[in-house]
Formats: sequence, structure tokens, C-alpha cells
Amino acid sequence: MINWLVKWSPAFGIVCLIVGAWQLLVKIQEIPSWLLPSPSSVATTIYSDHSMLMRHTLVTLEEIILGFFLALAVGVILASAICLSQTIEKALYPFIIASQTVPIIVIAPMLLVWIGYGLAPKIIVVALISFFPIVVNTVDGMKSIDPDIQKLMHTLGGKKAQVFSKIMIPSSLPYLFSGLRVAIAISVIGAVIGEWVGSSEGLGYLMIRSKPQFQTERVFAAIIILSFIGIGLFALITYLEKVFVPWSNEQRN
Amino acid sequence: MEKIVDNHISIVGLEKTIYQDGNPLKILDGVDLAIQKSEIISVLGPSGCGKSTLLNIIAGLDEPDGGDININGLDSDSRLGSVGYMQQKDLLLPWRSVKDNVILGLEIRGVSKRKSYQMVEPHFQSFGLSGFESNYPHTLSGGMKQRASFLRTVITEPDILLLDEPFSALDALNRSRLQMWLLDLLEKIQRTVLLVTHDVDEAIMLSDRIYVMTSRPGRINSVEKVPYPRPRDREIVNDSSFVELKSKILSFLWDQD
Repeated sequence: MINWLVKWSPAFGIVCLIVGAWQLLVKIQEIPSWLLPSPSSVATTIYSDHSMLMRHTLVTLEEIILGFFLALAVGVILASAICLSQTIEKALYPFIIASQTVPIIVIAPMLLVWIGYGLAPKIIVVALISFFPIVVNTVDGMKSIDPDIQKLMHTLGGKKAQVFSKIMIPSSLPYLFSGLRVAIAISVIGAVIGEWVGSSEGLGYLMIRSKPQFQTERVFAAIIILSFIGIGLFALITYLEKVFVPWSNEQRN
Repeated sequence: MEKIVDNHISIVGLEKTIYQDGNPLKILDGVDLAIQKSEIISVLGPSGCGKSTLLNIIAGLDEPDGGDININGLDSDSRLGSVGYMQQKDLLLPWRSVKDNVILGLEIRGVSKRKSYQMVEPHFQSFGLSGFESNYPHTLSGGMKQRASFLRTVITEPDILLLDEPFSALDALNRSRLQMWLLDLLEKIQRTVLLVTHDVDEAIMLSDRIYVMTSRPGRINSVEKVPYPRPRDREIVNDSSFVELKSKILSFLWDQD
């Protein structure tokens, strides 16, 4: 625990510095709280509204996690197909890239029209923006195998399916995890955008509702909770990588 | 005709041309090899003389443009998977333990995991790997990795072993240790071996005959018989005949370039 605190002390230092300066600025300049609430009033809001915030947090968390798993499944399947067939690669890759150039903020309201108001459109928005780093990284990982290992597999009598399952899949795992770390961070944004477009619950909805009501503390409270969700899930994925891909660092060195 | 039947590997007039940016580049220009069963043969030659291409063709990874290659009467499709090919790098898979790396070839053949472990188990001792069966490759020394790679190559019992500079990544002391270890091993398992190397000492120390190749396009320049019976002693490096043979081979290599 102490080691952990020491390791992250630079980050804590920066947080303390920013929070301190912010508190001071609001106090000295007498900035009204609807314009910029002080850290202490945001903290008070988090404390006093915690059950309401928790309810919205769980909704957003559910969207993030379900969307993320959908992105993981779709991403890995697409990456495998791309690596197994050049025809599929040529057919699909342009569309996969194109899917990222269409602003999600345009697609999200249409999804609402097409599939309705519930959880589904949010999950799709999350998956739509987070599958991309998963596909790109996994494809790179599968293609990064040493040609000499390919030769080795052939001289041992290995067939294409065996090269895929015994070599390509394991060697893509460190790359997959890099993709997952990027994906989880942008999943959070995806969930918020999905809620902005149309919802009645979730932290994104809370922000969009609180702003015109001049409850700026709640907007900031939501931002802080979203940051913690992002950091927490990122750390969880890093931990899972250490458990499931212990050779990852060795391989990269 | 009788001679061809005797030979384990018989190669006549092998030719190979590759294309680089559309320009033809002749790699092998009429290579002849005749190797008997259980012989250890070295192929020496300057860099880029096509040694690796030759091994690739024998292993069945590549097809020649001309000439004949005959290994126990097998064509290239069935050569793949039947000839043991050990490359320069150890190529151990970082996500597998030593034990699981070694059984890769057995696994590919569909041998069950339990049976595979039973098959490799008795060899860890003589391959200097006992106690390290469950280690991951990055925790092993260079020599151990190379020995694990050897075990993976021989455990599927190919009767021909192709070795492409297997010791080049090791320091001088470990290299010489591993050479003696390999000689010892080959006394026990009796395989036909084709060793590609840059190292003249290594070629003389390990092999029964040495094929010296010309620079590109590769041809056989001379075939030297090594006058020492096996098993051998490390001390033969000090013999005058060793030094003579070495300087003769070196002069062939120097005349290249």
C-alpha cells in the first residue's frame, strides 16, 4: 500500500495542486457556484447526493461494460477474419476505418430512431467507438508473428488452423490488451454521448439535465465519477493482462 | 544407380532463382550433395551463398527450379513435417513453458498432452533441462534455450536433422560446450545431419565431410573429408592435420568475394 502511494505520488501531487489552486481561485474571485463550483462544494454534493449519483453511475457502468464486451467480441472476430483471409481484409478494412470517420454524435441520434430509447443504442454507441482500437491492435498482433516461427510450424507439419490457434492467437494477446486499454477509456465517452442523445438516467443524462438547472456541482461530480470509472477499469485491464499474459513484457523487450 | 539407393539425401544439379524487384537473382547454380545415413555433413560458405535456401528446399519449404532432390524417395509435400529443421534462433514460444515448447511438434501431430509429456520426460536430464521443465524461456540461459529447441526438433524423431547455424548466438565457451554435447547426443541417436555454419572449426569438429560453397550463385567448390572418427575429443583442434584442413578450407573461402 505504501509502495503504491509512493509510486503514484506524482499524480496525487498534481491533483492536490490543481484542487488547491481551484479552491483558492473560486474563493478569492468570489466566482458563483453555477459558473464554477469550488472543489469543496463538489465534494459536499457527492456526499449529500451519493445515493442518486450511485444510481446513475450504475446505469452508465452497465452501458460501458456491456458495450465494451460487445466491442471485444466483434473486434476479435473481425481481426481474426481479416488475418485469415486477404479477401476479407480488402473487403472490410476500408469500412472499419470509415466507421470511425463518421462522427458518433451524428450516428447516435439515428440509432435512437432506428432501435429505440432503451439500453441497446447506448451499448451500440459504446461498441462502435471502442471496437476500432481492438481490431487494429489485434490485427497488428496477429500479423507481427516472426516469419521464422511460421517456418518452424510448417517444418513441424503445422497446418494453417494450427498456426492460427497455437501462434497467432497467443502472440496477439499483448497487442489485444493494448487495444483494450484504449478501448475502455473511450468507452466511457461513448456511454456519455449515448446518454446525451436521449435517455432518462445515467451520468451523461445527469450532466445534461443539471447544466440548465445551474446545478454545476452535479456536472462536476459526474465528471469526477466518470474519471474514476475510467481509471479503475483501465487499472483492472492492466491487472488482467498481468494475470493472463505474464510473458507480455518479456516479449516486447 | 546403386549409389543413389545408398544415399539418404541425394541432390543433383539443384538450381534456384529468385526475383528481387523483378530482376532474376540466381541463388543456387547446380548444387550436388550425396549424404549417407547417419552421416554428419557441414555446408560452409560465404554469407549469401544460398545455404539457407538449400536447407529450405531440403525441408520442403521451397521448391527448386531445376535439378533433382531425393530423400528416401519423398517429394516436397511429405518432406514437410518429416525433416527436422532447427533454425538459427531458438524460436521458443514465450507464452509456453519449456515442457510445453518441447512438445509443440507432438501436439501438432495430434499426440495427447499426457502422452507427449511422458515422451519428453526422460530426455530433460540429458538435455540439461531437468528442474527447468516449468520455466518460461526468458528465464533460461542461451545454451539451455538452444538445447530446448534441439529437444523440440528431435522429439518427433525425424531421421534427418537440418541445423542452420544453431550455435551462432552463443559465446565461444558455451558454443564449444554445446558442440561437444551435440556430438555426444548424435552418438546416441544416430541421425543424418546437415549443418550449415560460418565457423570452420565447428564444421571440422562436428562433421564427417564438409561441403564448401562458392559465393552467389552457390555451387559446391570442394568436398573435404574430416579424418577423425567419432566419438571425438575436444583436443583434436590442436592436431596438425586439423590446422592443415582448416587452412585449406579457409583458402577456398578467401578465394571467394
